[in-house]
Amino acid sequence: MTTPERWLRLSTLLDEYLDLDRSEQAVQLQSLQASDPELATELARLLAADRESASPLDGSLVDHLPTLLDRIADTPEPSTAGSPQMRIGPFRLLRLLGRGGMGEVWLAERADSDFAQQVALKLLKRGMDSLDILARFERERRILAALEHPFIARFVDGGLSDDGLPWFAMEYVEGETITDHACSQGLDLRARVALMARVCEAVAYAQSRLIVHRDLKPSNILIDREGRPRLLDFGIAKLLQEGGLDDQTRTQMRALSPAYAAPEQVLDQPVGMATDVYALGVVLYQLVTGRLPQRRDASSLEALSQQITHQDIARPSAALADHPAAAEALGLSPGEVGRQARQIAGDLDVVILNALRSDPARRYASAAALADDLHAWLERRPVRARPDSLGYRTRRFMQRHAVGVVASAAVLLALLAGLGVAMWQAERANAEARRAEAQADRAERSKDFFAGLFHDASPVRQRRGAEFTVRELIEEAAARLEVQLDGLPHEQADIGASLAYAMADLGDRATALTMTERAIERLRVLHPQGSVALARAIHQRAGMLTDLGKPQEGEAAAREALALYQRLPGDHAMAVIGVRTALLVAARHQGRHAEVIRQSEAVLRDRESLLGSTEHPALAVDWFNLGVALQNVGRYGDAAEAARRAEKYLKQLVLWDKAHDSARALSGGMKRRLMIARAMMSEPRLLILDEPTAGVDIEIRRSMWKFISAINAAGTTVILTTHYLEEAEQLCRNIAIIDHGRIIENTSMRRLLAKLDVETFVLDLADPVGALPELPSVQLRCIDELTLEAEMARGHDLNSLFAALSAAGITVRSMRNKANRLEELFVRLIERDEAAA
Amino acid sequence: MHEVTALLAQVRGGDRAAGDRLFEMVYRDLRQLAARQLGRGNAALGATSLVHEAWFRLARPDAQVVNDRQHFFAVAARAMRQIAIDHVRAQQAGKRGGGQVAVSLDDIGPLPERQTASVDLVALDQALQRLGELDPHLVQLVEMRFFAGLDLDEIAGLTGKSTRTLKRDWRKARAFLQVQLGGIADDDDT
Repeated sequence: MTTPERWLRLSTLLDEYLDLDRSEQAVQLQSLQASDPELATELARLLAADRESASPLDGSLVDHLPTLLDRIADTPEPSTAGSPQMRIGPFRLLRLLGRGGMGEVWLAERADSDFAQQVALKLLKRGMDSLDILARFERERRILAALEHPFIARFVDGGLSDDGLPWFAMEYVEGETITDHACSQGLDLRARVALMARVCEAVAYAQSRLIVHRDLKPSNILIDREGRPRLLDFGIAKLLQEGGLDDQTRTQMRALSPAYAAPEQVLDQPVGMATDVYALGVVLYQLVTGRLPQRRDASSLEALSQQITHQDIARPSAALADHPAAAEALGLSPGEVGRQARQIAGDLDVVILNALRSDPARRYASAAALADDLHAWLERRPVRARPDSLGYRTRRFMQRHAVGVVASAAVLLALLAGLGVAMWQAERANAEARRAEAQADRAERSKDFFAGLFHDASPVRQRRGAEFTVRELIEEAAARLEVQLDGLPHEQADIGASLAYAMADLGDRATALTMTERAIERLRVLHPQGSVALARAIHQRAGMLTDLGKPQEGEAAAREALALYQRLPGDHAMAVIGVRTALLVAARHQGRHAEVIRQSEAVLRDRESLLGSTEHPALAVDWFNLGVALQNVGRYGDAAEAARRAEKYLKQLVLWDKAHDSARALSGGMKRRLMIARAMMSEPRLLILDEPTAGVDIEIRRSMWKFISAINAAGTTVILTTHYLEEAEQLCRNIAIIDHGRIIENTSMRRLLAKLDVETFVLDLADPVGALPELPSVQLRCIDELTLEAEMARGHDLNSLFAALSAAGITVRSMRNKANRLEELFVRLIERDEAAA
Repeated sequence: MHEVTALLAQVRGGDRAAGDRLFEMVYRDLRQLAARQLGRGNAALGATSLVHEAWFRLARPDAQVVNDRQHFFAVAARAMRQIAIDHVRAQQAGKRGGGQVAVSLDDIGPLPERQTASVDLVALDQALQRLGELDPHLVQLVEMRFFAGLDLDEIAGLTGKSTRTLKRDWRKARAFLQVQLGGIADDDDT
């Protein structure tokens, strides 16, 4: 390899050989050997080097630079705070053991005593409020000194040096880090887990004395010559973190061990015992896979938070199988990787992932609980950890697909509705303990079903590459329901009904109805005498029929549900109110307006008395129904008042719902309806309507158009999207049609517009300001905030539209109300769901 | 800040002295960044960011030319190599009796995927010099990947080469260096 020419030849040959497998290479090399033996030898050597699996070059120096830089950083600043023979408190420094961002660690011995006690003395940097730290030492010293455990290095003393630097002394431990130890001793999987179990016990001991470590990592978990774990720095992180650090230092402290820090530490949320559990989980993960559970190399705290929140943690067994190089570092031969992965798969996976959940409340509550499960695994007993719940997975799913999911939040909400969150009209208020228990059990099994659905690499997902739509998810679930829950008719019926509900919210009411009817069939077989579940499903069917334009059938179904509830033992007052609501909606669709107003008022009164309050958030739905009914008979003023009440409770509902075990709060459709109602009832001069999402039902849309026609005739300008073109024919004047900038190219649309023969404004959302001069000077009253956000996300600058409108003297009233935002509502519901679980 | 941009422009114009000044500047900056990062206690926070941070600090605000970015990172990668080598040399000089210090690359971070892997940086530096005589592009690749910690996709973005090509080049460079570093005995092939 001496000349560039020769390398060029080798390089060309490498291009060819590197694509070959080893035996092919050998064949080729033999023929090369004949023509140019020297070249063949060099090439063979290069190929052998290429095969070498472990090269120091495979990493990057940068990953390991801190080690180097530690020393580099020392170079321009060689002086240390301490020096050999210096007295610090009762100790005399001997030699520097190490230094880092926080300060220096010295080997020291007691100077004032005959017995030679060696300690590791940490001398902290300046930048901490020394007096405060000292005061804390005084307070904490006794607690830390009382921490007597064979696996915990003792806290010896602490104080302030003559130079005013805080210091503390710990028992000096000679040993290697747990990860080095596992490698150097070639520990097998069980030995590693057993070792961690002992570590957990030591942490558990400290936790039983309410001392949290907060900075557990391999370098703080040493294994001494006898093979015992020795934990360093117990309680120190807390001491430093809570004591007198300025904000900046605090941030730095938080960033100390990013690889092992629990999410709450990085996110600056309260830490506790579960924080140590997380760190133990990371070390355990590392011990059994050779890898860290998450990539955490971000350079800023913010980016680090992102990494932590958005990365899923691979199951340890999968990580092991997918990364044989890491496994080799564990001392495994390729054959053993598979075996060890199989050993880990299942319970140990679940145990480790349970320790690593990002929500501290969902982890093992303490190191003791983790230790218990590790022992259980070692002894082949069942572990207590359970795979992630649906709620957790759903949230992760949402985090990953934030944008796409918001629109579908209503659907997922509905999915959850049947699982633990009772339905809007359900009778949870007076649930007896026994039934609640049965429900919880069922909910648990249902959750497992859904967890599986979210978890598996489903065929649906594979078909689409990565994503799957909510509709597909529901269809997938419905299909699985038949197979996986075969023999569990209760679950099949229950989940089936929930899925149907979700499907209805997606807008496909026909499919939803079929699904609901299937569930009803099942329930009729299961409960020939009738049951609450059956009544609920029939109630659901009633609503769907009405929505599908069959209000008579809907009414009949509602009456059947009503009769069933009245026959069933127990108090179903709240459920009955729900059914009566369905009845009056069916009546409204049949145009029996006077009756509907009477019924709406009656339902409202009855619910008020049942709740014992006239100011209860759960009344939102009744006020809403009353408002629609009043509007239908032209009593717009009263309707507006009703809508205001509904809106007011709606806002409260979010909070109320969190505090109480209420009900299925609001579907997306419900919220949507309220928003439209609110807009309509304010009788605006200008009305902007955007595309309706699934959930605006036919009846509302029809009633809405009736109203819009009326106000348009009275002079209100209406701005529409092309989604409303059909209905736009009913309008007569002052219509603007928004088409997201596409309208100009669309000839059929132009023809339609010509046909309409009305005064038309085309507002190009891509350039809203350009269209302004043509806009009438009116009050802009209604903007659908969800749509608005979607538009902004698409790059339409509606803010500039608003700004321009304002400048032109047009009042802009943004209807944005954060607390009402659907996704927030959804997250809260999930949180509650999880809290209840 | 403008200085770097100006230097990059001069380098583009073929000014060798400007290239040296640029290198010095980047070298100084990276060294400071490294020291400061360590001082903050962020040691483990992936030093890949060093070169990126240097880029943002020194050049990005007014660097207009795409080539400048490539050039800057190439220079930064070389500077990282120099910093590492200087450091090891300084350490060796400090040790009476000299002798080679094998810097373990596995002191920190996840359990080593390369358990026994440690590299003699001085030997590596010499091997790279030899490689530079044969194939300077490969040296730049090693600097970018190993010393600056950029991944192949990033390097592809900088150099305009395909990841596939870069992977191939990397295997060649790695094989060459492995042989040079003596990690590979004579042909064990059969």
